[in-house]
Amino acid sequence: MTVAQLTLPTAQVSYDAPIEAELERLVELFALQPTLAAAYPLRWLAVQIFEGDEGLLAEVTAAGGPSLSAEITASMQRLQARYGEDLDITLVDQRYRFVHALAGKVLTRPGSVHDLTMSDRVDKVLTNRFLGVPFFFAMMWLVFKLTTDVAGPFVDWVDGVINGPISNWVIGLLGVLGLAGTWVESLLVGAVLAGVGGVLVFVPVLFALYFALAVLEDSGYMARAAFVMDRFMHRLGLHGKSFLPMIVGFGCTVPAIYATRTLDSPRDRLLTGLLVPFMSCSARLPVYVLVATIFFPAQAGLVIFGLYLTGVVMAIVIGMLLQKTLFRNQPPSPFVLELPPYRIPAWRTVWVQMWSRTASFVQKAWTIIFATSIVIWLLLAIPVRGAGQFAQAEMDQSAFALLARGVSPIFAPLGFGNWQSSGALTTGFVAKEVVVTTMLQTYHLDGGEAEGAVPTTFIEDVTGIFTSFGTAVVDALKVIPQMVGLNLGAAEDEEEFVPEGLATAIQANFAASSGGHAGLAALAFLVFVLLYTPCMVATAAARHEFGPRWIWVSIVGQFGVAWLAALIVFQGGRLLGLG
Amino acid sequence: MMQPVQRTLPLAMAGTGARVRLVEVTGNQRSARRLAELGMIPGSHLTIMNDHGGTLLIAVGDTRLALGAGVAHSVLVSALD
Repeated sequence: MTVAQLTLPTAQVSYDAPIEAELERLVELFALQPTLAAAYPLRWLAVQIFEGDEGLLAEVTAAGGPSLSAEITASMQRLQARYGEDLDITLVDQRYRFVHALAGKVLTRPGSVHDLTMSDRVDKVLTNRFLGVPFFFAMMWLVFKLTTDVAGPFVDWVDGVINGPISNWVIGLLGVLGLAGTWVESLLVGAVLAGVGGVLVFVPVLFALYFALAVLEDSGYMARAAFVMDRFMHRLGLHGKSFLPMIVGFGCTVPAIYATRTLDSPRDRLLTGLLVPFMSCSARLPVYVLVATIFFPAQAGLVIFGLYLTGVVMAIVIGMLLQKTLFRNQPPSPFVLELPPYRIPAWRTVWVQMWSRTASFVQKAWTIIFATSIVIWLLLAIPVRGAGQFAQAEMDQSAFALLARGVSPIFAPLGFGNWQSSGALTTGFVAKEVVVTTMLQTYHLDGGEAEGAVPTTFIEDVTGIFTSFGTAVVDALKVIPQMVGLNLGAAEDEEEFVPEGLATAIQANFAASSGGHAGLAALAFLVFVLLYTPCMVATAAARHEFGPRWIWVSIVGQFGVAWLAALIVFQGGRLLGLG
Repeated sequence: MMQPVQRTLPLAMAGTGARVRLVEVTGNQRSARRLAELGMIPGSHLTIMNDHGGTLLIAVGDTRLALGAGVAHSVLVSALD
């Protein structure tokens, strides 16, 4: 075996002689300070000091005391006398000269630097002042379809596997152990499996979203999106770069808040961080799907798209308000962004991003969601009234109902002051998708066992899992041509996955709490879910990034905004005689 | 012989397709430094590739940069023939 001996030629950037002399002088002085010599390459350190790095200057002053500090000042003054105040720019300029001189010696380029590259030609179309924005929205529409329609069959598959074969196996195993029908079965199936399922159902959606984002980033389009949207974002007091966190926010608020780190100024980071939660995250989607299919089966897609749009509009309004109030004296930082040339994404990079981002969500989410599922199950299992025993309590006599009833008057003016809704919204602070889990638990437990499961063998179950995965793949592939406009007119026969009993129970309940305006109350509920306080993981991320003070603005402020918006939808709709 | 006075104008006013020489970055020091690091050094040649409602796409050598309208106004350039 031969080992390649690779020695890279080290080219030291050489500056003008006067600068070199001062650099050498500083390096000699720094070398006398053991702490500095151990921590940094000294020439690099000297260059940073000349370029005005305040953090490093403080370190150097701390290590070398006032005498070293005076030497540095003297050096800089000598150089500034010669090169002017912008010493940092002079250094950058000389580095560029060095690079150009080197490149001129070793590179022969075909054509001239003024020739349009392939990338420029693509940009002529994609960032065209008339086509740029429509193309951007078309891309966003594709991302949206990918995370809903293409991921959909896989979501159903995961759901089916957990609620079908796996639940059956657990129940069967418990039967063998003689625990059938006990609280143990109720805990495992009603809380543990429901919790695990609640997280896993997200995996296909996040996979699809992170795939789309990785492709957009890696191909170079994401930077163009920032360019195209800059003028629009300017109205919110932000610039194009803030668009990336906003887009990520459609997937999950948590990475979106961390994505604000790419912005230059603290003001931009904070303002973007406050607006990001209005981008409807993917965890809220299952809530929309459940409620919209029950109340607006014919226009479910339209209602859901409308909700996403409402979130964006709210972000615009709130952004303008914040800019005129809290951020009045702080102009946005300048927008400068390098646009990389377009390229075909490296599939390995795309895969690594999809995988690591999805995995980090699952790791972060599963404990919290799991814990909530168990807490809710416990609250539901503990009887506070009536004669029910532990885990046998009637739903409306449980501790959960007692707590939720205490909260529900807040939601009465919005039309959904029933304890099931307020309970679901309360648990929604833990994680938005838990709203669905809670609703299913609160409505479903009574009479849920009536569904007769067809007995299957283990082999049938396993083959079923694989064949249904195959069906999901086929279904997802069938959706793709529709995404680009083919087969648009075809009626979609959506499978009704909401159990009939559940739908009628939820409808009856909303009708009762809204005085007969169930549809309006459901719409108000959806708007509330869209806008209210982000989940506790997102809140924790925001606290991490912006400090505790802003968290309360976010928690209380968003709750207030959501309450008002839902009030306007419900009461306004009633006044107009809708629903 | 007198040197002709160099006529400068903001980059934002130069118009799409224009080829210009960067003369000076006015305004705050930090953004001047940032632009310099990306290759926008006094004396460098810029081409305005695209104008999207005030946001510019410019070419500096092989680098393509997006500049917000505010930045484009702070960069003073002179025409290249």
